Amino acid sequence: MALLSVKDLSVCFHTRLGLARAVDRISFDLETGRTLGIVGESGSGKTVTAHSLLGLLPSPPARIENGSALFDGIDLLRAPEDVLRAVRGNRISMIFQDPLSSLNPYLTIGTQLIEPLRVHGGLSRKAATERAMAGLDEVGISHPAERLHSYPHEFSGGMRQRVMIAMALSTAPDILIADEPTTALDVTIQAQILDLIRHLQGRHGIATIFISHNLGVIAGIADEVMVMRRGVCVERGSAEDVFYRPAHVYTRQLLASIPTRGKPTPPPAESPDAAPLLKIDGIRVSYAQRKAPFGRRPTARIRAVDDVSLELHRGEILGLVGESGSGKSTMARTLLRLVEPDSGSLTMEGVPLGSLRGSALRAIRPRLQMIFQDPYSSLDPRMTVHECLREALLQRAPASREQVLRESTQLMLDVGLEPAQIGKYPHEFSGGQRQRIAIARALAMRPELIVADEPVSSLDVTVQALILDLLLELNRRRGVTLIIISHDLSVIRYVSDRTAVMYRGRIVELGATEDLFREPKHGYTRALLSAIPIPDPRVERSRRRTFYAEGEQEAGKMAPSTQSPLF
Amino acid sequence: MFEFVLKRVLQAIPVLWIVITVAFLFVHAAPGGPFSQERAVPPEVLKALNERYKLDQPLLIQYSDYLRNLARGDLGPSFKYPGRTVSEIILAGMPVTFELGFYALLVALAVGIGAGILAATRPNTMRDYLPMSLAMVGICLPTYVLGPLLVLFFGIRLEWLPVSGWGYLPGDKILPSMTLGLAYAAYVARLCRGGMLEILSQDFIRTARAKGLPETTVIYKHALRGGLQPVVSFLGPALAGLLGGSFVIETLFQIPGLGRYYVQAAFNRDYTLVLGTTIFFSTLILVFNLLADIATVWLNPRLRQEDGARA
Amino acid sequence: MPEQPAGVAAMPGREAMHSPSLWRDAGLRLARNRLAMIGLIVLAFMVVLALLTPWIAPYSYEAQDLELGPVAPAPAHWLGTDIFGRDLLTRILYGSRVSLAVGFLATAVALTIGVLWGACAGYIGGGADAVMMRIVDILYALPFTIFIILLMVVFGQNILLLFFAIGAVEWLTMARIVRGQVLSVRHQEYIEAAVTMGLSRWQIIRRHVIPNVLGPVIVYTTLTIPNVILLESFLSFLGLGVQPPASSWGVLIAYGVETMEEYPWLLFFPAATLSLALFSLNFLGDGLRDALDPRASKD
Repeated sequence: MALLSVKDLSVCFHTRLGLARAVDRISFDLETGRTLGIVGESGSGKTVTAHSLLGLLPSPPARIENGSALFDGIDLLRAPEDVLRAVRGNRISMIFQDPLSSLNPYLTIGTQLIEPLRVHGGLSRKAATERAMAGLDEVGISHPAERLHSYPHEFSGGMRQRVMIAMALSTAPDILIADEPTTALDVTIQAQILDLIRHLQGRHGIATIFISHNLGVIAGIADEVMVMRRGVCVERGSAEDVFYRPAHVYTRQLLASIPTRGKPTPPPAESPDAAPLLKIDGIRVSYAQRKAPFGRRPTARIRAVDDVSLELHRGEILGLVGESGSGKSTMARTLLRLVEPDSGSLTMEGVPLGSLRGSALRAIRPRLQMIFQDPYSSLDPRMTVHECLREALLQRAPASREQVLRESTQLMLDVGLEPAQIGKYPHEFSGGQRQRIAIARALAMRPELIVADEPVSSLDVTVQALILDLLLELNRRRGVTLIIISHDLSVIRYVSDRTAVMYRGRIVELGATEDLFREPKHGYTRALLSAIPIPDPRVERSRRRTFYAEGEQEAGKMAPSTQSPLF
Repeated sequence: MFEFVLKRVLQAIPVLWIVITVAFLFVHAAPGGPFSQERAVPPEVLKALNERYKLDQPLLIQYSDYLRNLARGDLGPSFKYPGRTVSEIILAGMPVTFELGFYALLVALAVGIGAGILAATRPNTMRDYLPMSLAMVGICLPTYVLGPLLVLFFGIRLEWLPVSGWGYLPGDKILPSMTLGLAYAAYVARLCRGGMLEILSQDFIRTARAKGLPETTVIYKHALRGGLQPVVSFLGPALAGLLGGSFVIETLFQIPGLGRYYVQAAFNRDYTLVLGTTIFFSTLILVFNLLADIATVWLNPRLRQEDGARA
Repeated sequence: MPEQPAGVAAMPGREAMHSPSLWRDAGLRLARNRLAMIGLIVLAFMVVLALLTPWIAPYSYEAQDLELGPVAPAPAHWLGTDIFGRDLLTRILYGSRVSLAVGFLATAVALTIGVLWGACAGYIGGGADAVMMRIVDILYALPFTIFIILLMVVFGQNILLLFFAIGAVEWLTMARIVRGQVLSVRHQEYIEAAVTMGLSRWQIIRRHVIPNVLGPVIVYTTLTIPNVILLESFLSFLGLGVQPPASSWGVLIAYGVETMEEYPWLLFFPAATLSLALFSLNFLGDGLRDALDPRASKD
């Protein structure tokens, strides 16, 4: 008899357009101490499935149409609210994606940790406090007694997720549901949190439902895997079966879309001794520290980019990799003169880019274009695609109505969009299509260099590969030089000829991509490489991770104090 | 926190000074002196009066005299109530106005927050529509219409409550406080509903529910504090509004409060009284705004801590 | 297009250029909101009546008929007469002219100052922004009702002054809203994209900032008008607004209150008219807010 047995679960949502089925006849069993990984892209219904088990779906608009979920003789889908409440947070706990918004900012960690213990365990305040401290200690938070009085915003993201885990496990639940628990975290932090979950789960014999879009993460943690797509379970089986012998086309597609392989044609387009297209020399950028609304005047300056020098050759693709706060986005914006550097020089084919002003600067701008991370905010919501492209085309050169129409149609075709959709507004497109529009807009300027800042990180995996392929094609066919910025090493490895690793405002390692991946020299690069989850269960489970602590090398000297928590 | 309060207090001082100066200049720029209204004042009498009130001195002298006296809490003599100083009149009217304002605020907060929570916990049902429609009525019915309506109904038709006065008859404080409070209850209800809905849609509310907490705990412990923030920020402006509203209420219900004095003084061109009352009200409102600011910061640990940490 | 060149066969037809825009979307949503539409119709009706008053009013607004005295609503005087025998309907119609004019003009003043101030603060940013918004904060803390009363007392009941005085109060919130909106738009990546294309500052403001800031401004304008009308009637009620024999809704209500026990219609009709106008404007404003809220358009 399984611990939890879900049969034919169907959930639908009432929308303005009628009923939409989010989950369609999902069935699975969960055994004590085992981990079920649910994997799928956005909109696949994996989160809805998890929420419906705890009665957390907002109803209306959601409605459970059908099915049963038997847990210890209780049908979770039909149990009255008070029965469910005794299960929630007690015998079945949950942790969520964003540890920042999942903790109440108005209450101390202690108050929030003690709550489930008092409600479910009937413990006294004192006993509950002691248990909460023990719990914090177990998830690796030092000085738990003091930490109980802290508020969530005083913790870093990873620490917050540790608190969430301590809270979820405090009542010794039978089942833990983890909904994308590491998606909002940096890779190296993600590795730590995954290790922690694995460790605690083994120690307490908790059954886990682990939801993620990341196959690598699932490979490392799941005994069984369920692949979901558009509310339907397309494949279910042991991790080995699903990863090594995928039965369904979609699973194979998912596995294939992960760009693990290296770039097919590595040679750089020009010989290195030719004059560089872009020369960056000793760039430093710092920000005045953002203050609280009622805080004192800003005093400290945060150094975001610290003495970065680079040479970029025409036709090459440079990957810039780093975690959040490493200064890579600031670097990109500095190259495009969206951010003014404190010092250093920027030269584009002999033109001192850094010292241009006014109309001279505006005249050179079309040669450098940018593609942004978020295609939702990088397109003006009140302009149709046609208006958007026309603005770009007319900015480059005056043209007649017909010319504009012809060129914008061609651009649509170039980026793989249906020209008939040119009259639509950005909100009518999907995320991937929007990113294509953004690329088309950049191409309209006929740039020599495109800086793409996290161009695929807000997209689903299957779409990611398509956008990266489009960028590669632009590079090959049009000879556009590219700088691709990403936190995702597999993306960088897939597209770039050379890779620069950024850590705390500095480039700690720079080299040909394959060399760097094969033989990382810097400690941080090694840590980063060891932290990427690999979608191969056997490899992933047996991996040893290396960690890189600041101070180990000189790179951390000018540490920005944005990482305010002390641990 | 202390630093923040101190800073705010220090900022309020120049503001108050500007208010005093502007009000003083306004009053003195008025065409015609306070005594020109009465017909046929003999010139020598006018001159004597002007001399007595130092109106013949250069403006700058008058101004510095006024400031000096103000620092000692002396707002000068009233022009129209001979023998009484402005400070006396203000002190006499103040308790009544404060009491009225306090009860009205109680009504506004109790009714408004109650209705707001009611509506926010069951959005888009009758429990939401009914209080919110009433709130809309409250916003669209100005106090000087609502007041007479309440008087007509409770005072004249039903004869349940006295229709005027303050503290003379049992229950005569109810109608004025209700009239003044209900309009603000409507605003509070809308703000509270909006704030609560915003908070209730946050992820941490889902966490609280996933912990198996009773719904009452979720609402009152986890949501209310954040949900009330818009209401708290509104308190400063609301109190300023209540003071303005008290002019009408005190006139309507013949309550001997400051508001009524102010309006009468305005009509009588009793400049010292107008000036004194303006300064008094301004100070009051600055203080309330300060308190509302402090409450906002105190309620939100993120603001509180960041300020404390950097202080 | 009959003579299309072969190479552009894939070119989209002209009708494809116009798909439902955000504005049209918002318009459709507004049209579906019954309360907002009723508000809009009532309001339009009131404005038309107010404009046509000199030609359609049944009586002269100051003609007294002391022998007639106050009569209850009757066929000769639909809404009755006041104690001077003046036709109430006529007086309400003329009052509407004043109240609505104050409402629209003072809002226009507030709109102009508020948008300019807020847009400058938001777009320039930095120190200028801090100073400008600090000024707004300080003005917020001032008892403006009291100041307007002071102004009215000192400079006489001048209706032009009233416009500016009320406008001077109401621009503060507008400035805050516009600044907040400009700031959020300014940090959108499509503005950065426009910069990288080499657009000038003015082009960016005109093409990207203004259209995206407009929505909330329209909403807030709709919600400012009732506030202004209320403020005017409040002043008139206290006897500080419009001077008799001219009338406004506030003046009429003030008279009505004095005699409400004997002649209730003198309070009822002006109060009903004022409330109807306020309701209409508030419903329209709420409707516009819902219609233009980007969050509402997502689902």
